[in-house]
Amino acid sequence: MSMLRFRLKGSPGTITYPAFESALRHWQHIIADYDYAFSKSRKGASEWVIAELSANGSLDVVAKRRVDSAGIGVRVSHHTVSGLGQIEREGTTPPYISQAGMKNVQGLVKIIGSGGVAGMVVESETEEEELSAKASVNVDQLLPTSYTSVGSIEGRLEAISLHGKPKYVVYHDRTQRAISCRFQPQDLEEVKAALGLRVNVFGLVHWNPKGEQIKVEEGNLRILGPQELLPTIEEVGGSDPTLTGGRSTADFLREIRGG
Amino acid sequence: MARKPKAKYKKPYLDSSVFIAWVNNETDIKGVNRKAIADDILNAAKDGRLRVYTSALTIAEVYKMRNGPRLSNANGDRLLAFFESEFILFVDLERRVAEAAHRLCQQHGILPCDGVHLSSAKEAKCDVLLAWDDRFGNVDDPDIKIEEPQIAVGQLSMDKEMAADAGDEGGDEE
Repeated sequence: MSMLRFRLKGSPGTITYPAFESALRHWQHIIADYDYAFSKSRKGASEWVIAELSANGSLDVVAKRRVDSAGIGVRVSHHTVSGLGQIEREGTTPPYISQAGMKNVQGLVKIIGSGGVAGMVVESETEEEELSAKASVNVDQLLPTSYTSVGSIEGRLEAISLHGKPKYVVYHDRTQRAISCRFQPQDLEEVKAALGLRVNVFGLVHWNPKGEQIKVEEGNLRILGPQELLPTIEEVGGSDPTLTGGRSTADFLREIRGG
Repeated sequence: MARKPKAKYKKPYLDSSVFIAWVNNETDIKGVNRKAIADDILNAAKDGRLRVYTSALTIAEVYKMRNGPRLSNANGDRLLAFFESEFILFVDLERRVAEAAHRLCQQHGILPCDGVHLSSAKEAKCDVLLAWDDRFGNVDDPDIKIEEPQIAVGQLSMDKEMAADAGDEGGDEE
């Protein structure tokens, strides 16, 4: 069952209205971002309803997904809580959240220590994470570009946005991080043809100070072969017994690597 | 329904030597059937029982040497297409990996390409680096085990052996 509890910690009568409003606004955008990653629906946070509101030494908002037959709400709850915990504890970008989502995390945790907000707690059915000012310091390290390099990313292209500068999101094969890739409007048909498929995007890769890829510019898109059309393990294993020209594998490697 | 056996590895990193021995059909190297072991590990990855990692450098290293018979275009293309398989996760050779490789070369006295594989395995947070390469096997790194590949699950190999045995038995009966 999906359940997301968001708690603003602060003494009664001290949390200001702007702090409360800002926290809730960022919070709902974060939920919407995670929801989109799993549902692929732009309805986002409107799929979530308030199940409980309380003020008992802290301000608590409990949300539940209205319809959750596919278990999306459970995944959203889990990844929202574990993702925010990862930012707080490890200072690394969690899987599935987009750059826009990370900016909302930045806006959310920036409130801690101001407007009467002493801290935040996020909670799902099974886990709980406390957010402190450390999360704010950490997220500031994850958003800016530290350096760029010509390179590529591989993963599944799962979202196209034409709002502002056209971009699509690739969920990285290895890390499941959401990487934003800008494209030219004239390439829209090519991008649409790749929606839902595994792709390689070669271009100018932006890295954050933690050494994580955050976006790709001037990306050249290539669709990777669907698994069912690729050569199988049986077809490739043992397919060329003359590959090393009779050398042992170790000798062959020493010849190409040196040593 | 029978439960799938647990894999020996969780996140193995495969050095190029594993792919080379596999494509090269090495079925008896000092009594070890390397092809069967690599088949087993790759099939376990394909079935989702473990995740295998390797460097993008592997794609370049699994090739035919210039002074030997060349890999045909068809074989080369098939190999490149195989490396698009979604059950093999590639670690790109980018700045951070290259810088770490540089440091590992200094630390362990290894060569740059060995350093790239070792740093790639560490970047991917693999639990073991698998290689059929004695020199690589001598590296003692505190963060990762380096060892020769072994059967990861065994189910597939055992199934094949049992099928082969059954076939032999059938022949005897005839």
